[in-house]
Amino acid sequence: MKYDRSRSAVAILIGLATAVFCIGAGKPRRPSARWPAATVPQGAMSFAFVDLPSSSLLAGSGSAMGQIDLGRVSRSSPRERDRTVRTAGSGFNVSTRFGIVVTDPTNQARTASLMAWLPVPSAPLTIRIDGIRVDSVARVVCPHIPAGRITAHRIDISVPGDLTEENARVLNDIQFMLVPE
Amino acid sequence: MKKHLVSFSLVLLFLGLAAAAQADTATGTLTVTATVNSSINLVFNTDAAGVPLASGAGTNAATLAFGNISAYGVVALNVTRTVVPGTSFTVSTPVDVLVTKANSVSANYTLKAQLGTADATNTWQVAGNTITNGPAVTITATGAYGSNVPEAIAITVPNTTASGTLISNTINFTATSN
Repeated sequence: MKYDRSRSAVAILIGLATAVFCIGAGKPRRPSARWPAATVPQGAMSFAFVDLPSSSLLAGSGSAMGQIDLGRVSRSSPRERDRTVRTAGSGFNVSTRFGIVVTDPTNQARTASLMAWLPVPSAPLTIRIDGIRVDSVARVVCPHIPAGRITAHRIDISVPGDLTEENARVLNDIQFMLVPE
Repeated sequence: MKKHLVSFSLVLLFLGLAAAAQADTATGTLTVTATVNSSINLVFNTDAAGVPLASGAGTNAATLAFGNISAYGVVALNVTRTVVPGTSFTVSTPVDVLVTKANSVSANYTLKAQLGTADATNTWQVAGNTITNGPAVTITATGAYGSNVPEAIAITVPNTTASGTLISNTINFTATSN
């Protein structure tokens, strides 16, 4: 008997949900025909990394799988076209720029936020995108990116002075996720 | 039959939400690589007991001006003078040399100095070591990183030098990590 009551309760809740979603549709429709049309977007937004005129360190331009090789860098590295090194305490910061282009197949001039996180900790290095520190927790680094335009972004890597030649290779993946606004 | 219809709606509800969540985001990966090289840096600073650097303090290109010097006349503050009567006089003042390291396991550094151009008349010394425009002379082989090290800069001028003679030269310092 208890089992039957539970099933009845579930049936009522789902029935209400179905009714709410059907309001405004004009004509009542079978739920099985309505759900896909109401919730699956016509075109999903996507993005790609692209080179900028002021920086050409990016490999894989035009795809969502980019690679940036900053080369050999030190606290006394001179300023170059594609990268900038600034001293910071006993260490230094190296930075470069890259572009992102968001594509919206619906052409509705939507905007999106770009979230970033590190799958592998970067310590003792600190990585920032547009000034926002990136770590293992996904957070918005670039909000309100308009679709259809290339936007410029900066990546900064802080290298502490006590990082020695013995562990001098810097390698990390930055995961990005585009979230339509 | 009714029970079957309810169950079907439930499944569609969750499938629909899941499809929406996946379709609304896009992901990508940016791989960043770099190779950190070690480096050291040398700057000159005014020593507390020395003549203030005329320019370039805190950089690696500084100017030290002794001002007017003579064997027996007044010399500037913080200029030390020794006289060999009838032969020559020497003026000296300390200048701080600060060498810092980054991303290096080096324990200390070697500092060498060399005169920029030949001077056949005057004698130039750094920390008591006579330097010429020949091979660089080792000033210290165990310099400590991160602290100002006063290095005495001295010029010995013969008494035969005419009054009003301008003495000018460049001392090139080179620090090498050990």
